[in-house]
Amino acid sequence: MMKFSSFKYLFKQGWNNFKGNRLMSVASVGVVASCLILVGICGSLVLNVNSFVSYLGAQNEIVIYMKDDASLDQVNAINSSLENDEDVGHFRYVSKEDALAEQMGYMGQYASLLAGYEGVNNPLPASFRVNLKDLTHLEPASMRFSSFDGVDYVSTPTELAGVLIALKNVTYYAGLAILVILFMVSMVVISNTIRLTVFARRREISIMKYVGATNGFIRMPFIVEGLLIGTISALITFAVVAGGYVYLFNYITTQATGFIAMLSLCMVPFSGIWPVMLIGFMAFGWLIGGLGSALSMRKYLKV
Amino acid sequence: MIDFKHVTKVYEPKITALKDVSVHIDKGEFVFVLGHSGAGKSTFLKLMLREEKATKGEVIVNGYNLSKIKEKDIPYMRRTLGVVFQDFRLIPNLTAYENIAFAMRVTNIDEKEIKRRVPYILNLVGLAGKQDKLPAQLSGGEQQRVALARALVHNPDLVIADEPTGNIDPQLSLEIMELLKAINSTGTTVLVVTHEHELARRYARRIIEMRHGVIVNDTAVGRAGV
Repeated sequence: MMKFSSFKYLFKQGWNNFKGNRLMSVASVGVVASCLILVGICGSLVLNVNSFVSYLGAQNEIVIYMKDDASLDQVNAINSSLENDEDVGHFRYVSKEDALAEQMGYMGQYASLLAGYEGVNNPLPASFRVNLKDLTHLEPASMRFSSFDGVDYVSTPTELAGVLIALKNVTYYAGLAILVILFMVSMVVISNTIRLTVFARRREISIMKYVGATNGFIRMPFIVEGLLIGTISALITFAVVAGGYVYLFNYITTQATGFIAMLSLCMVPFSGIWPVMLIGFMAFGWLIGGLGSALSMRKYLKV
Repeated sequence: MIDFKHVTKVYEPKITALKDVSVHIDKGEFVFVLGHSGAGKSTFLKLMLREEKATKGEVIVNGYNLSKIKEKDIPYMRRTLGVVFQDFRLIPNLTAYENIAFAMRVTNIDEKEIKRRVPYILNLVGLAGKQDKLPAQLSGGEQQRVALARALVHNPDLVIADEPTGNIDPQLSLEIMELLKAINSTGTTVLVVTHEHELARRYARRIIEMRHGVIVNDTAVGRAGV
């Protein structure tokens, strides 16, 4: 069991390494923070594209048109099937009368043109308007709905859904690829910085080995150094990305016009993402810091 | 204490540093391992410190079988012995006190014990009053005393000195040897690896002579070859 004084000693050593190797430490914080900022931008983009896709997805509904002669039992059966369907986010039933009233509402002052279509003359079919939880389930859900009794046909926005899904996939995989590349770059940078400290202290390391220090003890100050670089980089990144995000969010929601203004409807507010952002940056920073230093130590532990 | 059983060490591609070496050293002995460069002394030392592993045979030091020891147990085995090198291997930016305390800190010993033990050991090696000096401010002999003090912090059963007088003048060499003799008189086994025959003849009670990777002579002083 390690004593408290040993912990204190090891952390002090790690901090001394960081300070002693100041120029390289600052340089690695710069490079790692730059990588993390790119990761942050990618992450924010992926998150907002997902939100945008979900928003557009929610605007597009599957419409189940009923036959005119569908019985009340058939309508009730579909109603309960939709209630129990896991893919369905929400739905509403639009009766023939509601459909007519809706059309009249669209026509505004020309609504009187539809006068005379009430009651038995109403040509509009009753329908269920269904929003799915996940657009990727659009086609199987649509086929399932078509098989219900009393259904005339099902209108499905397949093409738009395809585009949205493709968009979501592209941003997801591109984001992932960028994340992996930046992870590797950051790790190599941290690892090289720590390798310099390790090299400068190789004499101490060899003495430590001869007097019986364990590998864990020898490694610790360098891991502390790596974690410090990771933590400082993560905090700088958080400040930069958070500042940029809040600025952009405020601009889009208050100043922007046209298509960009539309994005404000689905842009994720900062309050909704900052914990994920902070935890993500810290985890990324610590992981590369810890791994980077562990990797650079391997050669010198073989005494 | 130290047991080499038919030990052979081959460095790849095909350099045989030790050939079928068998030797036993008991607790409390004062032994010199003599030989010119290339005789196999360094390999002998490296095998005892488990810096290298024997290609064949068994090396047992302080009860640890170094042919079978697990990686995680090596540091604990090393705490049972103290090592002194020709080039002292002191950390230049640490004072004499800190160099010794360093060896204790990195083996998880608490500050209270360090404050108690370091001045005691400095006094033991005749460096009381020089604790705040950096290695560069000390003579070669004094630096070797600091190294010796560091080797003694864990109260080892065995002290290994690799050419301990190689970098210091003859008068100071004798002082270091006297110190090793004093350490040996407390029951600690002392093993000195050197090429200086004169020093060996003057101090040793047993001389193991190596040549080309084999032990050519193992003589207990006052007795015939063993």
